[in-house]
Amino acid sequence: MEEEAKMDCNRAEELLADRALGFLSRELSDALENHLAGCERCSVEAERYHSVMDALQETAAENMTIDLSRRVIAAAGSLSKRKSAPLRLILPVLAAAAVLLVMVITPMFTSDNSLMMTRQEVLDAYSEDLEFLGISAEGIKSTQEFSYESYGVPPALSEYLVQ
Amino acid sequence: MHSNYKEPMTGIDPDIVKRFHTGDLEALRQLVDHFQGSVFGMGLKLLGTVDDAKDYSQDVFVHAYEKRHKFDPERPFEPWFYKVALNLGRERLRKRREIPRSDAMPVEMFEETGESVVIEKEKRELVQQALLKLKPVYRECLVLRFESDLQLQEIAQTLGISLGAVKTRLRRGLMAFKKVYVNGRGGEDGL
Repeated sequence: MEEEAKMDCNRAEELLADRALGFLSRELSDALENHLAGCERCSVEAERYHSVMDALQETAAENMTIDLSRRVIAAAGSLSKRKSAPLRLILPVLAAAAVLLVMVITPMFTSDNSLMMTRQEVLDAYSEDLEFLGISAEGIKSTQEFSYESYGVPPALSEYLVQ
Repeated sequence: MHSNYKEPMTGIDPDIVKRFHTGDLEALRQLVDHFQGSVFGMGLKLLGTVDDAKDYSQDVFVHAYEKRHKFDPERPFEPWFYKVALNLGRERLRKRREIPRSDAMPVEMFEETGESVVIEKEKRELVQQALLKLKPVYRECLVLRFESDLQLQEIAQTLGISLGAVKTRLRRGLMAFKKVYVNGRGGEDGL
């Protein structure tokens, strides 16, 4: 009853909100009822809170029918696919890179002298042609150097090509 | 006494949640069936238009599915799920502030006919307009309580605030809502 004695309309409104929300204890609820019995203004407010609560609860969209399932499942499904897509895109690139790597690296390991022909081997390979042309293998100067420059290639490039 | 207490919401089947966590699309479909009403309602009350609410609802479920690994299956599902939904709603509102919209106010609703339906529609629009005028902290609390039907403890977990803070926000939010809603109806008595 102490609450009732000192309750003003501002406090009563707080209690009205609490009551609407279900927070109010029995004691405070009784105190509020006593205040309402003697206060027309707060009685009107109490009715307004009834109306407001009805509006909030009645307009809840729980019963509104929207068919989300199909769209959500489709979107989630494509999400899963999208996640795996980068790997599918990357694989061909990785394969191409691997081929290039092999092409670049292989000569480094295979360009030893065993795969190069010696002067004698070249002469032997072309011996029939040389014979047909009437050129003696011995007549070919072993010290004769091939020069790109004689074909008009700039010296700098010639040096690079020789290397 | 005019009590507005609601029965505690029936939680989603834990088995569905576990399957959802593993990426089961059928479990996702079941979650959509279970939560789509409340999520759509949240979208409607947070964003204000049906089109936005529909897009938002779809995004919430897809986003939750995408982020499902961040959910701990040993913990309650609802607070985590509604937190995802709420954050998405906040993000949309933030983007809307950055990109002003000409149709930010609710203008379109469901296509309905009949006098009672029209009254219902007007009431729904009034509620949404009033909610949109509240501070976001109050709006979120009211939406979680009345649209998502969460209990106080669940709201506290969702928002990461104390139970006392939830009560305070709900009380202040309801008082502010009442004021705006009544003014929106022309302040008439005997509502």
